Amino acid sequence: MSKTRVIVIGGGALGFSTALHLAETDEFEVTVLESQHIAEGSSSRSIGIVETQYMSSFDIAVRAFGLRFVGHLAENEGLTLNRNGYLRLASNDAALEAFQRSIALQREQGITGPRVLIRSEVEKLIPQISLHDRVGALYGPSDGYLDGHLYTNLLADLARRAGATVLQQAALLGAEHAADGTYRLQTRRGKLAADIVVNAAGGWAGRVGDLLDAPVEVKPQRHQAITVALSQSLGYVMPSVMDYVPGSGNPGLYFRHENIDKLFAGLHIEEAVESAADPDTYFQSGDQWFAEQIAEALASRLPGLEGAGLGSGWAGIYPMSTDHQPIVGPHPENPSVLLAVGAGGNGIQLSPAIGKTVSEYLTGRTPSLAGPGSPWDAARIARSSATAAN
Amino acid sequence: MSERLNYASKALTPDLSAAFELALADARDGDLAPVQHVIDGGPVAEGEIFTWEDPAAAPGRVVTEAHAATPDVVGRAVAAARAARKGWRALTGAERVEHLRCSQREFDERKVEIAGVISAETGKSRLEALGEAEEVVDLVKTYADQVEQSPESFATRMNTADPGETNTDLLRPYGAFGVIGPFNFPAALCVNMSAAALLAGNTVVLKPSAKAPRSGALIGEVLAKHVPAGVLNVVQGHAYVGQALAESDVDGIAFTGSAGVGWDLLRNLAAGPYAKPVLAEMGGKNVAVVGRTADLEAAAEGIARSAFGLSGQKCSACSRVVVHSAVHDDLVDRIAARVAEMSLAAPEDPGAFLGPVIDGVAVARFERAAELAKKDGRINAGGARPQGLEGHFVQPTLVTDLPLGHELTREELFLPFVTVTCVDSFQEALDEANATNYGLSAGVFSREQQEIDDFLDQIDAGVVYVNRRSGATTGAWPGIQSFCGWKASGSSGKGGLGPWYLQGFMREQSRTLPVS
Repeated sequence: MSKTRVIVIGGGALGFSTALHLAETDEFEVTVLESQHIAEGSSSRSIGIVETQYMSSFDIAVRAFGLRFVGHLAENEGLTLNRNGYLRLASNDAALEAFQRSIALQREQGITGPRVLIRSEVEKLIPQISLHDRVGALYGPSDGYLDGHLYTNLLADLARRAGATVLQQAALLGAEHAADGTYRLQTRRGKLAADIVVNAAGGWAGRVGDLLDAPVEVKPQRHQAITVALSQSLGYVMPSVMDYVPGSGNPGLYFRHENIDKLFAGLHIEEAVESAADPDTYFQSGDQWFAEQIAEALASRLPGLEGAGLGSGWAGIYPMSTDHQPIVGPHPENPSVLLAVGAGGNGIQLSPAIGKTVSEYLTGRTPSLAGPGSPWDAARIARSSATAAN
Repeated sequence: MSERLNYASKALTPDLSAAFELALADARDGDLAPVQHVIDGGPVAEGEIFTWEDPAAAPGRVVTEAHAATPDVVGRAVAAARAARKGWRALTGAERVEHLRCSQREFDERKVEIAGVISAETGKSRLEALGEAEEVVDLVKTYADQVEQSPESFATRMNTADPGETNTDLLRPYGAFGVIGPFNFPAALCVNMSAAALLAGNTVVLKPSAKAPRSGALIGEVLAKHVPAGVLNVVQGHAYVGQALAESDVDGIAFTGSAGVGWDLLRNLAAGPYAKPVLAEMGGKNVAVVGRTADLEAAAEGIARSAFGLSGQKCSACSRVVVHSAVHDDLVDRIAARVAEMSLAAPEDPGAFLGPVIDGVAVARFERAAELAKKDGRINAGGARPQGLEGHFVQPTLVTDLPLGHELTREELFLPFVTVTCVDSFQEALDEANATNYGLSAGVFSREQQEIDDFLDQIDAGVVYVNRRSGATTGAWPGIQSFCGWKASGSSGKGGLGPWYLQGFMREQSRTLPVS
């Protein structure tokens, strides 16, 4: 019996995680199409944090899978996973109570390390920090970060080893959808036939969806990050610190270790607050206003970093869906297309769960982490388009 | 801390005791961040987190979290140590001594803190822990003194046959050493091996015990701080990390631990195209031989201290007594009387003589040994787990009437467990004393010079003590005793703490040069 031909569009973390999970089942002939080079889009511009400090059982479960997955790659495949720990700061006691609930939920899923730190404990952990306007933090000591570029390339290597084909410089130009459901894709590298197409095109997912006649709306959001040059080594590995309050509508400062004399810093938000950016033409370097904003935020949050200076900044895309949750699963109007899109600023840490979920859909199993009815269910995008059609 | 302690010390001043208690409480709270590796002078936080629980408390009290090194982390640490070899060996012995003296001073200033961490992780009593912290300082001092006192860093001017030549014999470092530490002296033995390797001109990747990661980390942090980046690296983790280190590109291994692991290491590292040096110090089945004329009070005291101090978890712990039948019963009664007075408690109890054993595996080993002893012999004291103590506590146990050659008198248990074997002559006693594969330490109690002479001549052990009330087989101290195990107890015939240890980390080079 010939294998089902699956073409994954998008050579980023989501595309290669999907390709790897599919190739490992041995039921598919898997090809990944990348319009430029591996990890050319958001994956290599990410700061690569992988953590589980979330408040709902679902959000924790998909990330716990991600952390275990990258942990396995670190133990067995030479991936550098820096387990510097992750701190989510709390500005009031209600947040601390939510953190306690998170700890209980994480324990249910076998993650026993996280704990709530009061202000003085955070200050002991990070002597340079000032928490005058914060009460404590949720601390996940096993959380970490990785290099998105290296991670995605490792996934690509593993997918190839498992039998997948990778075509770079193979932008999708057009698609013919036959009556039997199969696709003929026109690419810069020629024509390819597929039984199933996975849209994992990140910031380009909307355009790819249109070419496939399987529309999906993403709102690419431009985000920046910047290097902080330390004047002297800290003597410890700086945890990732996230000072964003989910749902606040305001971006929050984050920073993490990068190496012995460098931190990365940026502003994070899990809502789409800006107009959509064009993934081909957005400004990829850092803005002066951003550097000034970060300098101000760091001066207030890390006043102990005397003599630190800001280095170069860069920008990347958060490929956001309209409801800020990833869209994963069969397209509601076109079951030959599977969606793996809209992971926003969480693509690296969610990529293992997203790849696994797509693979489970295609092997006919009920997805174990994020199936029908879950926040990621792609069926939810049908309602809006149905409304539009009516 | 101005008091000087050693393993025979019996009391502390109130000030020191109070300072220790604060340090212990502090260490038990743990650090907020898991223990990190040190590679090339910088902290590294890679690898899954493992935990270590306080052996002196009910299960679940985590005292240490640490990152377990991945193979990649081990590889990078070894690469850093290799890259640092050239610069470190280019220094003179005196220059390396200067670096290590800085560590010696810092160890001296932080003795109480170090003791607190040791106690929190191993449950050892404050006297033992403070003694170990003192030994840390003395180990560095002893080896640094040796280098200073060695003319021209172990170079020997040789005879010259040709007036146009000079002939010199040098001891040169091997390169990068992997150092694998044990749990029982988690600070002192990491320092012992690392400081010797460093002073001999080697760079080091230290892998402390996973049963005391923070003790090893503290040692590594101080040593690394005072040498150039990459000269001293630390990786944490379980046995497989040590295995990965042994299989890596290091130039030699220094190991302290069980004989099973040590001899496997030796055989594996000898299996390549050439044998890398493995300096291994392993366990013992250390014997006290008691003759019919012995001072039985002294013998009972020395035996009890050596058998039950640190809950029998010293490499040199006395685990066998071989005694003349004429004084057997008397000696057994006297040891049993001492056992009855021994205080078994957690280290926060100032009166504790022995603490818990290290983990549940050791407790299970104890329970099996006690069962065997009950079946094949007689338990004169102990033999059970104490009531009312949470943690891995087992009673100090004294066993008699086992048949000659019984496994409890041959295999190392690493528990507060001592067997007494009864024989009818001193020669029989020596034969029985030598009837194990081990040969680390041994003691004799006798008032007859001939017996003492025979013991010294015939005993197959590297560290021997005569009529030593403060410890029949234990208590070796840097610069005073060497810790040179024979047979299965040591791989090189030379011991740590002694005058020939440093040389084991070096190899000979004979240089014939033209007279310029």
